[in-house]
Amino acid sequence: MKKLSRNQKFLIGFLIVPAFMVGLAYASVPLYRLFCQVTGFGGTTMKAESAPTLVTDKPVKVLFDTNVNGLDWTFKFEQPSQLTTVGATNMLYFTVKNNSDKPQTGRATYNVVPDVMGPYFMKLECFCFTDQTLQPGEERTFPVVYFLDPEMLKNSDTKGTTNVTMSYTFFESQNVAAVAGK
Amino acid sequence: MATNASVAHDHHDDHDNHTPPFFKRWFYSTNHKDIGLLYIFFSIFAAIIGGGLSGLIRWELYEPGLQLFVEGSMLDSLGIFQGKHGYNAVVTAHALIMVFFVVMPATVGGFGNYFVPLMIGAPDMAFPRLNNISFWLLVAGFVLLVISLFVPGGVGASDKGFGGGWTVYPPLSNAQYHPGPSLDLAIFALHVAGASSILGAINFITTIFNMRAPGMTLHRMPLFAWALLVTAFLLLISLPVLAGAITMLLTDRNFGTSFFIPAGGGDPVMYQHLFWFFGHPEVYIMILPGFGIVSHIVSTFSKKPVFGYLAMAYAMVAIGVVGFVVWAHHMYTVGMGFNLRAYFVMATMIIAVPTGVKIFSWIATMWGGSIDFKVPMLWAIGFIFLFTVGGVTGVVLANNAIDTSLHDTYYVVAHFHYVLSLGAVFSIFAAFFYWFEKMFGVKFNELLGQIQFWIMFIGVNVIFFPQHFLGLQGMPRRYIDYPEGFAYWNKVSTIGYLITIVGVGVFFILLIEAAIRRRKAEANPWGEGATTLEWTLSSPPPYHQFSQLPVIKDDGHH
Repeated sequence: MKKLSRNQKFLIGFLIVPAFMVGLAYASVPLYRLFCQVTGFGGTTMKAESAPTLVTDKPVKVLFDTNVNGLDWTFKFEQPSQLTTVGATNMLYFTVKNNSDKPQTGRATYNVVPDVMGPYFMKLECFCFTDQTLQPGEERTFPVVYFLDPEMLKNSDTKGTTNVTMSYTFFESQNVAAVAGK
Repeated sequence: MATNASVAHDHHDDHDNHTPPFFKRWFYSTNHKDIGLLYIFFSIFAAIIGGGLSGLIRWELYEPGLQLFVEGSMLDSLGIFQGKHGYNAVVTAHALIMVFFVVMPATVGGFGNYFVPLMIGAPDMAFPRLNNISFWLLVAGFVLLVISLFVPGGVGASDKGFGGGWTVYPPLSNAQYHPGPSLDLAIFALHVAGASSILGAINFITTIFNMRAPGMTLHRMPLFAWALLVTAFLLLISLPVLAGAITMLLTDRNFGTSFFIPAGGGDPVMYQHLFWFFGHPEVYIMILPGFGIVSHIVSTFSKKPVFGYLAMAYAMVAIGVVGFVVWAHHMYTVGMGFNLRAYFVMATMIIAVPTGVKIFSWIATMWGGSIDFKVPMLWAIGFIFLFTVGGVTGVVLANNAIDTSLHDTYYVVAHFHYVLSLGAVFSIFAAFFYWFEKMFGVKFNELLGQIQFWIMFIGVNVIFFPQHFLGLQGMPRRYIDYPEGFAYWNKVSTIGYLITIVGVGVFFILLIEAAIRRRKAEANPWGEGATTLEWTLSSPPPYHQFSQLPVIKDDGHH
């Protein structure tokens, strides 16, 4: 076999760099999602295993928002807002109804505003990121159980928060294996 | 930097100069000087198209209301760029062409290919045929991008071309809002141009590491070669990330993935992170070769070695490294946490330090020098001035609190045109005139060059300086129309464009004059200040140079 020249070795060696960077670009998708879930970055809300032990008397108003995208569904909340305190556990029912004459599959995503509240908006139960199939005319009710983590009072960005809006959107399910490790 | 008084290279063997026949020479070219010239001519050609598109933008913005992108206008009767979508497509194409097909081919492909081997004493680039592939891939990319302007893009039936800005942010670039094949073609164009640049970058790195003449250590290497070395690394690391991001976008659009679609669990902000991880180093890719060029010109015409050679070289390395960790200052408004934004503010401002080292070193080089205000020197000083103005507004924009209100306004447009349209383009003109005799073997007319410089200097400032005012008053970028209150400075800006056009006209007169008069070039027209290796060769250099490698000795200047 012909021996590679020094230049050819450089060529092969430096082709690895762009190959690695393309790999990194793709790897960043699951890494970014993981990062958001761990840190609550960009308003990603958190799932909690248990209710907080500390309940404070700091009042916060939680507002709700529902949207439907690409589905003939009605998506409603029980009440537009709830007055709560930091650390207290609350529950709210959401109702979705399929108005069309064929079964449809939707998937809900959620976010909170202000974004910095993402890490402190904890859910004990929710209906997010799983496909929900509704038969024609079917109506279903989902509970969301949430609390505001008392840790928020230690962060200078969030301790003055008096209003938090939680927004849910039901999208038409893409019906594809979701990319990158979900 | 090193000089090489020891090498007198005026003897060249016969085989140095037998050039291949026309078609073979220019289409199968593997000669670094021929490919460099091809890149430069390609860049001039693309600049005419990209500059023409910006003319349409300024025409439309000359006064409030819609003039050009409406039914019954000149463009409408030609059947191109119709309606408001047409305006968006023109803005997008202007940016993409200027970035990928004008500035990068001129600085990296053109002057880089031509002069890096000459300056380091190499006979050619390390991979001559790879070099040829790089050039023709770029041409293919340009053709794809131009085709993308004439195929369906937006939702409307007559919405030709992609109108979502050069950043191609989803969701506007999703299939829902740009269903046509236009963006897919533009993505392929970027893929192909990106592959071209990556191959070119590997070529430069290998050439610079492996093919320096005896005695040409890295620390004696001319600053332009240093600039290209850093640029090549930036290209190598950042472009694949863009390629990855736009490939994800392509599969989102066509194959049902949802990398950036929230409905499938994706995140559009993720695209912005990936894009700017490429996009920020990209702006240094465009400006670093200019830094190298300006260093040589300032030193040549001050008849002094460049001040602080090592600091200049490592300042470029520092800019390149720090350039990779500041990307999110382009996206302060996406809702990042306080600490994260504070970090990006700080990191961004740190870049002003090595940049300041360079600016002050250029001034120190001129200080006490016997300065000769020839055309290249005028462009170089113009570069330093305009780049400093753009750099100062950059430091302003680096502040999150200010950027929140200036984000996506004309202030940003003014800022990046000062550093790129005026900075990088002035460095290209400076290099063009500095090496004009060397490349073409004829002299240009000094008076015409000076006239062109002053007209263009005034013109571009009249275009872009008022845009600072418009931005501070809150005029958003990329809009086809504006309220009456913004009319005055927009009119001034368009008048500036017309002045610049006159300057470009003088430039072409200069080229024609030089081509007709054919005054014989000297090997070194700039005298004692021009110390790099290319000036030891004839003008133009022999077809194959350095068949006997020059030996570089330390000149004790650093």
